[in-house]
Amino acid sequence: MSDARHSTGLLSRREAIGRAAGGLGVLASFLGHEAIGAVEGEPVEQSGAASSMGLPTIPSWRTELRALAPNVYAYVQAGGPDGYREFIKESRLQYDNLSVSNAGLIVGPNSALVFDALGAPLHAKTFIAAAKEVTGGKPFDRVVHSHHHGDHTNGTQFFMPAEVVSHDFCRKTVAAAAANIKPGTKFAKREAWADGTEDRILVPASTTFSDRQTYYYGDTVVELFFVGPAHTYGDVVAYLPQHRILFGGDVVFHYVTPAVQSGHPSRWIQAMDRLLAMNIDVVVPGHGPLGTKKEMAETREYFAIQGPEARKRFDAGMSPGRAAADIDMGKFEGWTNPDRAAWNLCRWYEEFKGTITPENDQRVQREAVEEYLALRAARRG
Amino acid sequence: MKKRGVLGTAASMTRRDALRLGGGAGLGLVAALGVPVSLVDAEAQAPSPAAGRRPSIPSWKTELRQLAPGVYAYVQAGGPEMYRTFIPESLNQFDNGSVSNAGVVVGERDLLAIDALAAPLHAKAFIAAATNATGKTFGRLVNTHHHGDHTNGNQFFLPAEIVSHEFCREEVLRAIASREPGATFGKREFWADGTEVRVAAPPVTTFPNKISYLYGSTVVELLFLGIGHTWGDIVAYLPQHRILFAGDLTFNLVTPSVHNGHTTKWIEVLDTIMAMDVDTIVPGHGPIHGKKEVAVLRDYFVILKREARKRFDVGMSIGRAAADIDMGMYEVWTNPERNVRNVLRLYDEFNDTIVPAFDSARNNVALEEYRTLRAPSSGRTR
Repeated sequence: MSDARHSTGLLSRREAIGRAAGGLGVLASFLGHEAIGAVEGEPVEQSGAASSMGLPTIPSWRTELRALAPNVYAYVQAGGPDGYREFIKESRLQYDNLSVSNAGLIVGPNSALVFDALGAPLHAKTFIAAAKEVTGGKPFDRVVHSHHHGDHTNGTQFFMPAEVVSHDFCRKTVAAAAANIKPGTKFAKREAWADGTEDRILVPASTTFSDRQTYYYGDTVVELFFVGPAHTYGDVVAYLPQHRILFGGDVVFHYVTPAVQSGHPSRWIQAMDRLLAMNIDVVVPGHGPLGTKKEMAETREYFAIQGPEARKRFDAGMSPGRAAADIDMGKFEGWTNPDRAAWNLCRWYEEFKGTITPENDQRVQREAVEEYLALRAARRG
Repeated sequence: MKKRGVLGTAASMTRRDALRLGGGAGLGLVAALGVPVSLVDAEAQAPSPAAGRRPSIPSWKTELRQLAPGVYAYVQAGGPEMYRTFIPESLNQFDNGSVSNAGVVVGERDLLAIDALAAPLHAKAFIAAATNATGKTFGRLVNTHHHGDHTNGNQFFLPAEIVSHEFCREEVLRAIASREPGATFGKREFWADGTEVRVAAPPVTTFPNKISYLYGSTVVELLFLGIGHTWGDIVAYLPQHRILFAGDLTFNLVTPSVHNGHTTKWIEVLDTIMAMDVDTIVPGHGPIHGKKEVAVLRDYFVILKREARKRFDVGMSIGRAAADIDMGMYEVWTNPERNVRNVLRLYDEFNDTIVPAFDSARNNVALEEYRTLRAPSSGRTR
């Protein structure tokens, strides 16, 4: 425990636990298989293995294709203390959720739209199999990329032929990454991810927009709009106004530490303000279980807490890795993948220096993570 | 040349009579109610190539013309020699009414259509021509705006995805709602055989400003450039080929119609087009053109607005104003009676009462007055 924490006015651990405990009544799983309308919650049995650090644990959530409204489905992939091993067999990090993302499905009279394509062949194929049961075999006519990261775009090839849609920036970035793949490269064999035979193929968007796009799937209105820069410089979300459902892509993280490694922290807060002002009942995050505005607000809170703390340490000349290790993120310390704080501090520092661009300096970020992990390990040991 | 089909009625008076009633000739003369009957003076108000005789416009034929690899314009015939291809008896000088143009962009799997034309026989001929030329079928249709001469053919492109500006979709839905279920296209030679049932085919994808598609390696940008011919016009711009499918934002040799539009804002849109990197423009009506014709269209609006303003300021009625304004070279364009509705829309701008909807009733009153004043017996021939 760093004395610097108290002197900078951060919550004591006791205060942090007290505050977070109230929020744990919120749930990760919902009543009924065909939940329609406002989402109701029931308390989830907390994992028996409480954190050895005494931090409140986050809930766990399972993989499922969940109906949110007629013709509207969320596909959530498992995570949390009891769920993460479905995908990540040995975790180096707390409840590792890395690249385990969510998707969305909207079914129209003749075809279906997919929001995000997941990060691995077996993820995509499992989703497609589950989707086919509810689409009755209607073709996927459209795949929307919420942003360019591989855990949302690697699976696109398995939905072809379909129109791929994204923001201009996302398309450019995916196209550049696609061009860098040596033909014949395969996904490495990995249990629950890839069987080792699938070619690495990235399909960039052929249709792009820069602000808003509306699709009418039968009676279901689907509005895509750009909210970047936030998690990246090409973030789009999908909003269904009739059902007040938001597919947030990686602009929203529930119980998974938000990552801004190629995004813009301050503008992300503004994006959250915009979304929180909207009429939304159900939120499908890019990572984590379904939630409501309450969970969505926590993404904003994460950065709202971190920004001022980052600034203090920047001004004091602390390296980003050390600063990340030094900042007590309160209840967020119990979320998965907390070491992302190191990436996030690198981006805050770029903002403070006035040098932030869409590109992320991978070397600097790697070093920051190493420093963070070393300092946090030392603290525990 | 003699105007065709202008209604002459017993109530018409010669211009000479009208002037005498007003007590004089020339600028600013005043009739009984203090309103001038004419502001025409010796000076022509719009450029006139030769005193007393105006050369006719050229004619153009129906054709699917390739503009670039994978890019075609579909122009429907018009002008003095060709207008009868669609309108055997012209009511309105080489009537071009609802005889519109379209476009095609070829993709790897299917085609993009720009606009769907006004009638079953037009749409079917276009689709057949495009399929013959490319061996592919339409997967997507863009409506440049909601008017029937660009959207009535939508149903013949289904199951293609139909894309438009947000405003356009709303207007198409409104038109669909006003139709009787099971209505058919009225039988009309060269337009419909009378058996085709109208099927609702509104846009299912909309956007407010810009969307970009990739057809093969050809970029097609759909852009909203501002209010102009309607409140929801979009153009299809192909930057690599410097081609613009302008929809009804440009008219070439055909009098433009502002009935659902806004003249001043339309001029601004034309300025935007003039500043774009464009060589070839496919208009909503008339033959394919370039930036020169955009400037000509802009001048039409600038001159009409200037002349309408003068007459508005002295309280002249719309019909009389439209009859009184000599639009010079533009008088030989097709469908010149549109000047009436265009003056009406300008008056609404001047009154600050302009809205997207068109007041047909008011226009009909003005059109009556215009026709009376322009009747051959009135002495004003064109």
